[in-house]
Amino acid sequence: MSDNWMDRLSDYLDDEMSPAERAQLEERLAEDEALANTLEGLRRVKARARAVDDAAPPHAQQLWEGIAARIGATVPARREAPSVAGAIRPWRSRRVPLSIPQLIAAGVALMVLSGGGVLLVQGSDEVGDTPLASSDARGIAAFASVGATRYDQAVFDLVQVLEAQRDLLDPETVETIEQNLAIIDQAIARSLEALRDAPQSEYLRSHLEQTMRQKLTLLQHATALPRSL
Amino acid sequence: MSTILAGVMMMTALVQAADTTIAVEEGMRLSVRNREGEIRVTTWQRDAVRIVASNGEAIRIDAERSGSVLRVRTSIRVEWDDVGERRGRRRSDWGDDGAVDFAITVPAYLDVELSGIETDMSVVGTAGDVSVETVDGLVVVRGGRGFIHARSHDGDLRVEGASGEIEVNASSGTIWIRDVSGDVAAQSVNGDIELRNIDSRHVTARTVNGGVTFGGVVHDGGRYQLSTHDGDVTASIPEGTNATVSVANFNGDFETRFPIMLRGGAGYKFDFTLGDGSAALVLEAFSGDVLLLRQ
Repeated sequence: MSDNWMDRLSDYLDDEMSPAERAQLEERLAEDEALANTLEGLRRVKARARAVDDAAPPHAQQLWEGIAARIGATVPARREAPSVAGAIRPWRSRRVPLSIPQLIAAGVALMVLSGGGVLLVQGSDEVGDTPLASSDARGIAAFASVGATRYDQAVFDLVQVLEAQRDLLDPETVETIEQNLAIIDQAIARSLEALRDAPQSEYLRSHLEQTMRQKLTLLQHATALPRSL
Repeated sequence: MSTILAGVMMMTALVQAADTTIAVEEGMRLSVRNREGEIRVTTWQRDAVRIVASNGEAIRIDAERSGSVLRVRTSIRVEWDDVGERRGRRRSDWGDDGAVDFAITVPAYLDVELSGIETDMSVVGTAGDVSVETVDGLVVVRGGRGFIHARSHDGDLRVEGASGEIEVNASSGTIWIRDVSGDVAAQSVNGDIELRNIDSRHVTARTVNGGVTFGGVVHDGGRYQLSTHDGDVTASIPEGTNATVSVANFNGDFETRFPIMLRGGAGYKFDFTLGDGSAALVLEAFSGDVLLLRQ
């Protein structure tokens, strides 16, 4: 039953439900902890996305330093280079692709907060007893700590950095980055679609997480490219 | 022109091909940066680095030793007109805008670090750490011990005959790794990954759009993870392998030449054991076939 309500959580947050539906859902939320947790996750994602949308576009280097500090990446020393400030396009004039980060983040929240997702939060060596299970759990837990609640923000920020640096990169390089991001986004979308049909599949969850992690890695590498110029 | 120097230095050769030789010792690292062109590194028996750089125009090699690092850059003399475009030849300056081909000879023990933008790179025969990164170019590493890191944003990568810890990353391009020992981690977004004759206890190969092929030894207690989103995964392993094999695919078939008995499975994933099952072999293709073959 909760699956039906899962699909309506965004409507609930966006106040697009009838009073009767709201009452029904709220009654359900009181009984279904997973549903309530998912709603809370989606609420955080939307709040975060709004906060970022309202923020002034930061300087790309500053933005990167903030992200790097959060995800533990190394920040190369600043070098004298043509300022990228002039290359930053007014962010508000470009539509932020909120739907993808939100969708991804919602996917992670579902994984973390529902069913076997508890395993991800615990994420210790005690999880699983076979070589496969314990190692997978450690990897997933590491990702979750980076992690599940911050992924959408990291992707969102990196996309902004990338957009700000677009004019510093060779057009062919930009095209390759965009092609690869499209490939990964398509893979994520297909994984989410598969998960919708088989939400309990451990493989599909793991596959989705790994693919999302690859997107993060690609964005990290891509945003580092201008510093090598 | 051939000069042997130590300490902080600046080599200048106002010729179309600059050639200089610099003394080095064990524990040092050579760092070469080249925006465009080629870098070829080979080895010799001398405790020195020979750098030959050619461009077709006047070129200068700038080499600076800082601690244990020898940094090499080049400057090219370019001539400019009033509006700063390269045609009037009214004045000249030095810059790094232009393709340079490097031929560098190093002692095998030297660690090597290369970086570039539109640069093909090869490192052959070294025995130290190797780090090569290019945005758009072919990367070839033959040999190397210790930490081998190779990355190309848009280009193929080939690592052969290396041992140690091998990490290869391509955004768009095929990764070939063969005849290597030591831990291997290979990742691509849009390209195949081919691992041949691998002798390693830990292998990770992951791509989003492409096939993954593995051929090599599966050590007891080792861990091998091969996965793709869109493509086939093929593993060729020896008879007598001891491994717990986990196969997952959402949309594809599984085929094996080994007699197997399924241990269990659910949600597009199943496990079985070969021998005593001590190694972990994970084969995953979201949309593609999984093949487990006898080597």
